[in-house]
Amino acid sequence: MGHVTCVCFFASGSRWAMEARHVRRIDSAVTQPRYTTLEQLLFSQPSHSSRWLTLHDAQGAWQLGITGDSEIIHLPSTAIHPLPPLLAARAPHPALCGVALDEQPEQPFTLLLNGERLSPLQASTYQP
Amino acid sequence: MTDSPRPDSDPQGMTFEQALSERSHDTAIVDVDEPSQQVVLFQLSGQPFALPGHAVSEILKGDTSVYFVPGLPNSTEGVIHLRGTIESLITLQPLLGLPASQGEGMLLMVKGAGIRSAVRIDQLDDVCELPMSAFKTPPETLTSTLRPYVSALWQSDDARHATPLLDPDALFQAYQQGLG
Repeated sequence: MGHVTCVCFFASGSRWAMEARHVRRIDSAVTQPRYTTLEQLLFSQPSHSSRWLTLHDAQGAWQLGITGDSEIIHLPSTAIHPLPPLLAARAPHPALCGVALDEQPEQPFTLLLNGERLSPLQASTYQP
Repeated sequence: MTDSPRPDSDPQGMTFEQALSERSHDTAIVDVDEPSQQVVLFQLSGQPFALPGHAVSEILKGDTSVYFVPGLPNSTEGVIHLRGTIESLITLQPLLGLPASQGEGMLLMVKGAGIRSAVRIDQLDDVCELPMSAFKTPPETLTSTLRPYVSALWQSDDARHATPLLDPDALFQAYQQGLG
């Protein structure tokens, strides 16, 4: 059975995961000129971030702020599902690409982000 | 043999032909070939609604586990896990201009516009066959919020309200376009 190695974290009361290959490094402070937080990017809501994931887009490195610690997990491929069409049509951001839910009760519900579709669209006003 | 009145002198008397003719009137009324449609009758915010039976593939308990997805409109409760498949769960009240409901109610798995989703209803009333002649064209007086999603009205003999038959294609297309 295959699996996908992911960086997993909690934000806005939910568990999120992004393919680990999209995350270059994790810092406790902003080190890049371009940055934003997950809540700002997805929900246009301010938040305080304590961890910063370095991602890359067409313009180079940028940082995505998350509110707590992250961990590396291996999501079994059988637990990964696409977004249902009605939900995909109303998703808050095109980077929300699926959900993970295993039959096993210890595997919590996880929202999946496509790191390639994440990008800070404009200069962040967030002050870490 | 005793004397008895002649049959034609009895005011209640009938011939076989007359009796059989009356019976034939009783049995000639039902037209079993009249086209009918299966419908699922249910309640939303205290009002009766119907969906075509062919559009409802399954009826689920209202306490089915729902997984919340942040950032979605109030009409989207989240997703449910149905035998290995993830399905969206929506409520129709915002789209139909109805007040929000309380309670778990029940879930209908509804197909429309080439897609499928669970829909929460307040109460399941019935699943039945109705003659096509019982469906009427929606009147002009139907509210503007309901009109785009109602394909017909069904007026039962004992119901105080007409029951709108919802068009699942129109509902899901509107939802995908950001309405509701």
